[in-house]
Amino acid sequence: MEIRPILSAMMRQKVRAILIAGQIALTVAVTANALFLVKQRVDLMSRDHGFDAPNLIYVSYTDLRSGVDYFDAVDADLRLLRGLPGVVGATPVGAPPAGSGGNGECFTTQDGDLGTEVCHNRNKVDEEGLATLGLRLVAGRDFTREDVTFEGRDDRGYASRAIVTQALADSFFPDGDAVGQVVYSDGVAVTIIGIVEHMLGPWIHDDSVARVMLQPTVRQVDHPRFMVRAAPGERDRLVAEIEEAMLAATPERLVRIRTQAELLERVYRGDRAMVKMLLLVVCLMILVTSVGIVGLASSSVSQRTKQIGTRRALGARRRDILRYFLIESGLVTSAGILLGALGAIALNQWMVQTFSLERLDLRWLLLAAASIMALSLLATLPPARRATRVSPSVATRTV
Amino acid sequence: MWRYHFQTALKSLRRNPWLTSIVIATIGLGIGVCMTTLTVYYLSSRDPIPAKSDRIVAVRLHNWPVGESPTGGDDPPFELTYRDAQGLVEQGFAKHQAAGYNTDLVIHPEDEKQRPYLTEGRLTTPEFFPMFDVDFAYGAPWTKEQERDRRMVAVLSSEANDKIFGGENSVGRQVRADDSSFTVVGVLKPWKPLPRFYDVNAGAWEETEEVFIPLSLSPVLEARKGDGNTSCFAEADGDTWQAFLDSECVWVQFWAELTSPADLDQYQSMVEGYVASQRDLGRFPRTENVVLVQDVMTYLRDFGVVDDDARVLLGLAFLFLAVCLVNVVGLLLDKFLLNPGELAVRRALGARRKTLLAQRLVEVAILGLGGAALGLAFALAGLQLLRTMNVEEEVSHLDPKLMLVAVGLSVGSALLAGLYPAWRGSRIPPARYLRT
Amino acid sequence: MLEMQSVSKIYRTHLVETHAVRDLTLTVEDGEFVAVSGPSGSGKTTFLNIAGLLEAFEEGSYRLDGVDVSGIDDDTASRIRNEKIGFIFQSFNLIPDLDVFDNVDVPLRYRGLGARERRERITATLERVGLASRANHYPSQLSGGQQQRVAIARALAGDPRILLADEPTGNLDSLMARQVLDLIQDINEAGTTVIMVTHDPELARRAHRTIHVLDGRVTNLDAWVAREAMVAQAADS
Repeated sequence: MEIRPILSAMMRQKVRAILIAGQIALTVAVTANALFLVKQRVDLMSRDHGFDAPNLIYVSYTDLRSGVDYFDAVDADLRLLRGLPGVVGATPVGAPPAGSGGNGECFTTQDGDLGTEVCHNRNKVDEEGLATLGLRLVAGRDFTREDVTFEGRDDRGYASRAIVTQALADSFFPDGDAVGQVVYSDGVAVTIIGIVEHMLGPWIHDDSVARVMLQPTVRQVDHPRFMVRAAPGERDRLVAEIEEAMLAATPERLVRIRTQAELLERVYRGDRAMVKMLLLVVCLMILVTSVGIVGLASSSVSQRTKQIGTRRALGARRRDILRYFLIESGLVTSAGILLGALGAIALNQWMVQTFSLERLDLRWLLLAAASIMALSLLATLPPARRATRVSPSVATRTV
Repeated sequence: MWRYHFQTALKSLRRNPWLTSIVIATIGLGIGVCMTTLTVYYLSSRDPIPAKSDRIVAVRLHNWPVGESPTGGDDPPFELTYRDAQGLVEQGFAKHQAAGYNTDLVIHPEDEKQRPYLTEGRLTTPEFFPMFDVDFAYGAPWTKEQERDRRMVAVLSSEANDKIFGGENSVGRQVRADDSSFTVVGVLKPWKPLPRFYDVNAGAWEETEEVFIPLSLSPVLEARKGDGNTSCFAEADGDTWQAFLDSECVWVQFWAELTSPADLDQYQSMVEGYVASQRDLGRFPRTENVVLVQDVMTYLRDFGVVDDDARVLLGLAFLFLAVCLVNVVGLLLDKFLLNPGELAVRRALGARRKTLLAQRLVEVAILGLGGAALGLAFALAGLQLLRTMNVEEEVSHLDPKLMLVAVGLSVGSALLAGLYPAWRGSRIPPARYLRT
Repeated sequence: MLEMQSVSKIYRTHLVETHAVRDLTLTVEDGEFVAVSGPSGSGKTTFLNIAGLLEAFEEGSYRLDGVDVSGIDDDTASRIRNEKIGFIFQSFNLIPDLDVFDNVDVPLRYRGLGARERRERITATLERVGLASRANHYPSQLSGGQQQRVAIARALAGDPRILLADEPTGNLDSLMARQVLDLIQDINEAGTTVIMVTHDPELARRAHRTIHVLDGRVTNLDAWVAREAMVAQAADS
């Protein structure tokens, strides 16, 4: 209602207003982008991993003995692990899920490097793999003992059967019907016998993370690896018990045990740190800008004590005075937000180009703008309330 | 005169303790956040071997089929096949060259009471040590002859020697690793290049390996690769270790030291000559983008040792500093224009504008120094915070050089922020404030 | 028009109580031009503040234009000031950030009038004070006399029942002072009640009657003159 005179009064002291508007613009630009980045990271970390992350334990060891049959040893270990009270299941694995280590490979839908080529993550489990990891079979069948090959012991060679995630099945065969189909790589043919709903692979930040192929294979490696699934609430007790039991059975080995939660904590460490740092910078920026807004409003009020008194004498009610300063602040903030919206898009453009990040979702810009507007008015409130307490009799004071 | 400015400035700052503290706190926050992110960026992008980084080069060969590459783009892989790495070492085109990879080893300490422990070892060729200026506490690298003859010799890191031999001169003694026994020929002085540039694949911020043994032992010991990627576009010809060594899988690091950076082109063409000779064996199907020779810093940049998050945060931190400075400009405008204090009196008493400007700037510089001190404290806290989030200690400690940068940045930005308010303040007509 | 009964105003600090206005009783008729005089510190500004509802008072009663305004709330006081009272201040109190037009506009805005009516009133009153051509000037571009005329225009634009002037010529030279005073007299002759505080007996002579305030009380002029004379005598002897 009284925007024009407020605006023209502001233009008479524009440096201060321009400074705050600029500060708000930068804050909006940074906040929108930072919140957007935070949202993406939080989405990433809170994804459904498919496997039963809270109850899984990763066990690996280095055998110090020589001349021991690898597969006999693994068999013994599995019997031991499966026999521990509180253990729901155990399976040998190629690598722990979401542990930043494993195999990546590419298969085609037709032999001889023809058809659709899809790159994915491969992991190895035995017949208890799905149950141990907590995966849900949605089509086809689970592995049986007969499916499992022991690379190096039997001469069945590369496992010819696999269970794939729905995401991988859809990539190979977008029309469905993946079960029973054969995929090829370098002369090897693998038949898809089952599909699990969802599971993330080892490289949690890779595009291919949801495309996982599980093979019924136990392979001789330097450090045998197992995943153990604990009954709910039993995990922490089992961590200590497993190490004890394994060393009791064979003291000549170095055992390493980690919970899947620890592995996840490790792979998301950078994201977590990034989220915290971004939030810290945003909070500090908003704090500093609020201090700036309080400062502008305060100096605006103290410069105009006489003017406020005069306005009161001329009939302004307290709320008119309050409104005056809120409108003034709102105008500066609006200008800053408009400028900041452009800045946010420019900043995002730069980040898209330099770091190949995603394009800014404008809802985050709106959120940043709205919260900064609210904050700005809130920051103006204390000095504006001080202004309402200026007595109208200031007008007749001659100083 | 400057002394007088200084005293006057201090008085002026004391007269307005609230404003002074807010200004210092604002500068301090800006500097603190900038220094925290700058430290991580600077330490992770630093040159691990400054004396030689421009003439130590990594060789990247593209043995993959046309249109495929393990790098995501179309550039050659970051590692070589075992046979190419060995081949280039044998060719000896450069002043020094070394190939190598990281492996897991179980060390059995001499003292039977100590439990065996798992650690990292490195198979490499003897020029690794002179090329990377690694100093020896005792002994020397193994010789080329020992390398050729696959002798069971080892060089221990200083840490390993402390653990296994209590820090004594262990040259000539035996060390048991896995199922083998090695004769110690040398012990290194403490050495920890940051980042661990010679094998960023196995981790840029990991410890130096504890045991170094000849690369030629790989087929004998069947020492599998420890940390790091192995990328293959085809399966090996059989299940044996030798078959893997002969395969087209890339997994071995190769570095060469040139006499001068100017030799790079010449070296590149020699490597291309080697690749041409390999084509006769039916290898290297590509014709474009086959040989890439990169100095240390270029290689590290390409590999992405500094992660994008650190860059994004650095950018945002400087925008934050900008916000802080704009805030300070506003606060100083209030201080210098609304409360000109005795400045107007000084003007009336004959102080020149220039003098007043100088005095205001001294005041601002003091604020900048205060901001720097507070900023360093904030940076320390910030880095501590990062370490609690498990960011590597290697990239999160306050660097002395950066502390100077902090002071410079703080005072510089305070002066920048103070210039306009000080100038405006010095131009106030004195009469306006002397009138009652 | 204005009726004060035993009005008192006390300023309290933690040490002393000062009676700024004590037991003040006064009636001003509709259309009167009253001068309030007295030495500085006598309480005449406080009287004006109370009369203009700029300050509350503790004791007594006050009726303005037939309405009891003792103990009214802040919003009501604001509305009465806006609708019934026009103020003229010694230091003009124009808002430096606004031009002449916007300055006159201020009280009309608070009354919530439409844009057209405001423009008409502003133009009319600026014409009446002879400053229509300066509508877009800022106060700093005007002389003191012009500024005070703008202030008078601002006071008149709201069509007040009563005009309160506080030393309206205190900051003006004599020529300008006379112009301003002529204007105030015109306004009074047009029917507006005027109360003018001044310490200058010359100015007071323009009023229909003069009230003397001394130590916060309305005093009989003769008594005051006698006392002044006594003081002078004492000083002489």
